[in-house]
Amino acid sequence: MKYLFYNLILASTLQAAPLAAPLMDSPPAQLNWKTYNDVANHASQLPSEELYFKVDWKNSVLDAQSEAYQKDKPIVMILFFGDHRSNC
Amino acid sequence: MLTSECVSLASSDVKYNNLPDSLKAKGEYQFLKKALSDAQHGIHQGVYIITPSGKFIKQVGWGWPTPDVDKINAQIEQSIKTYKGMSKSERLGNIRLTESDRSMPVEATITAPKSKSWLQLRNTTRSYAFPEMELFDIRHPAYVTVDKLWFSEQEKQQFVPSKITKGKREKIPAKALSRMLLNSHLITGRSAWWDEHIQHAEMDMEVISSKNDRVLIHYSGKCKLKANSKWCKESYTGALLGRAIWNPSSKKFTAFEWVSLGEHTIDKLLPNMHRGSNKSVRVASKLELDPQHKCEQGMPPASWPERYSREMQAAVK
Repeated sequence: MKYLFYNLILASTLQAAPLAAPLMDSPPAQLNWKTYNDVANHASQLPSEELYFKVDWKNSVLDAQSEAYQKDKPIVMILFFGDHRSNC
Repeated sequence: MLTSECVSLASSDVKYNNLPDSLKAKGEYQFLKKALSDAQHGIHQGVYIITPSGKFIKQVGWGWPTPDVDKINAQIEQSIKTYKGMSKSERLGNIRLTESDRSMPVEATITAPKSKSWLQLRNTTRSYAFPEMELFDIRHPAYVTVDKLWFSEQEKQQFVPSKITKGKREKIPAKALSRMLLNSHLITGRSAWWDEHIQHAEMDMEVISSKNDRVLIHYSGKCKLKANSKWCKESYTGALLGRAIWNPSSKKFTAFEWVSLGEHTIDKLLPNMHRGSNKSVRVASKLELDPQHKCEQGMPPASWPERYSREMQAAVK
């Protein structure tokens, strides 16, 4: 679900952003001050993953319907189970 | 498109389906039920496009577990075209849900109090590539875990040496690391760690430089966790490095970053989370000052309030 979620946003907001390009093929096997930045980069969100923050997500059907009615726009509705930070 | 041509909604099908009958009778649930009556499984996990009038347009999704971005994009575009081709009455109908129609109770948001000078960290974690990895597996490096980790004003002092003198080196009490380790901030997913699972945890801090109100502190640590309980048969061995800038006048960190790299082993792989036979994965984690993204406002640490003091819990109420 998470991957679909990211890809949906990716597909809809920035069509040209590569999903995995900034990740290193072989990130460092050891953590030391020389490899620190590369390990940190691997653990960081990619620009494509940060697109999530550009979307004004509504939490409830009521709030989405109310705004969609007012703005005359369709509702894209993602229904999921659990917490996006967990094992959804 | 999600921002300019649609209204975007992310919510839980399970929560809607588990509402008591009295709330299901209200307008919001009835609207959702009607809108998804033409969907394959009704109110169920998935991505759907509907009109404000409650008309079902399409269920979106192509490819599992590897979605086809182009085809999903085309589905959304087509759905928007379909919407625009409808008459105004078809698009909007005469339903406008109001507060009295609300079925899903508004969730209380949990925010760190602005009046308290807590150390608020944002945490991202990603596994390294591993043999037999598949996108179904939550450990796949295509996924990044996002979480928060908070320390109270008093707790954050544990990460500042008692004397600000260049070269001053001190140990951080192992207990100061428990919340980070046991609430799974250094691994992907969340595991049921307990205090006795920490076999080893140590971290040193050293004042690298001190100039005016900029004290550069470096951190280095190691840890080892091992669990063999009914709920957790896992181990983690990792190293951590970090750097921070402490302002002694304001008693605030103006920069803070910890990075870890470790080996996470899951002895019992689960069919709903993992694929293949590979049990050990290298995983990197980063904790930094929370940039306070707008859409994360009100979102507490995933394990909140587990392992947070009563004082901290009371402060956010």
